Amino acid sequence: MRKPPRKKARVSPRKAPARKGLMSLCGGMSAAECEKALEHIYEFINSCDLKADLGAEIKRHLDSCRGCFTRFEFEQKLVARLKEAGCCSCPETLKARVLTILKEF
Amino acid sequence: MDNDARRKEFQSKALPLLNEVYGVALRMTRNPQAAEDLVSEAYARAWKALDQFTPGTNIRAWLYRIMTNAYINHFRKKHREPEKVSLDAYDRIEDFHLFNRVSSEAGPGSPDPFDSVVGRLTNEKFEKALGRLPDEYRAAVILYDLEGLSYQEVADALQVPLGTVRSRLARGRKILQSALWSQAVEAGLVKGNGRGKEALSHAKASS
Repeated sequence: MRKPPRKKARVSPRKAPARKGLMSLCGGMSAAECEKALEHIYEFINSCDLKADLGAEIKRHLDSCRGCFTRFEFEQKLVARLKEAGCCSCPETLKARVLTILKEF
Repeated sequence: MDNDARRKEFQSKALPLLNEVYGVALRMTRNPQAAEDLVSEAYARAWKALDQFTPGTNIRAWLYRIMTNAYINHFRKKHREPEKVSLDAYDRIEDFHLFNRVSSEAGPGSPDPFDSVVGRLTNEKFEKALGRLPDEYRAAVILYDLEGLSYQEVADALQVPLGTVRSRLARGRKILQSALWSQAVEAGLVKGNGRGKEALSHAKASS
């Protein structure tokens, strides 16, 4: 598979040669739809900042576009793995400190 | 709502968040003792300012705002670190950098590019990669991507405009993805020819 070119500033499946191979997976889906879905992909994962209709539109697109879904799945797994990597238990000393604060004031 | 009711709400909702809040503090400060100090200061500030909390609103976001403010105004002044990376270099990196790199290395028809490379990185490697981010970029990525706060909540926490949050997130993700690629190369999970090496040497040269 061809390596992606170095200079590529933003998500644009239409202009991005690196995506060409995967774009064919969209099976006739318009490049503008892919662009829109990928532009909002982190908002879609976060789900705080996406209006319901745009969220539904992106979901429909991801359901039918394998190329975009593959990227979405990758980013979603990455976020989940990053969260998991940072999971830790608060030390008992800190718990005690906080409980003391809550009693003192 | 009177103060007793607020206190009860805080105790029932904010105390169970201790592990999570400590995790975020640890990632922000990258130092267990500093993280403990930061969390206890955040809880103390929140507890004293309970009358400013609007019941029924997002207590997590409120707590993170207080903690981030404490971090920016107090902790960073004490433990100020120089910028870790040359940021301009990262603007040349494309979006979905890690996906593109891993997919092109793996080739078509290979197993899931995430599971076969990124999923095999250890927790320590993930923390190292996060550590490559300058503080304010790391904070934005942690609060938005990992903790699920909204743009506005992150903007309030970091005391910057919404546009700044978006640009820090975009840049922060690029730095993080580039650093994760370097970690995958170091771990021998990928060969890391071409641009991978370049990203690695960038990171090393500026550390």
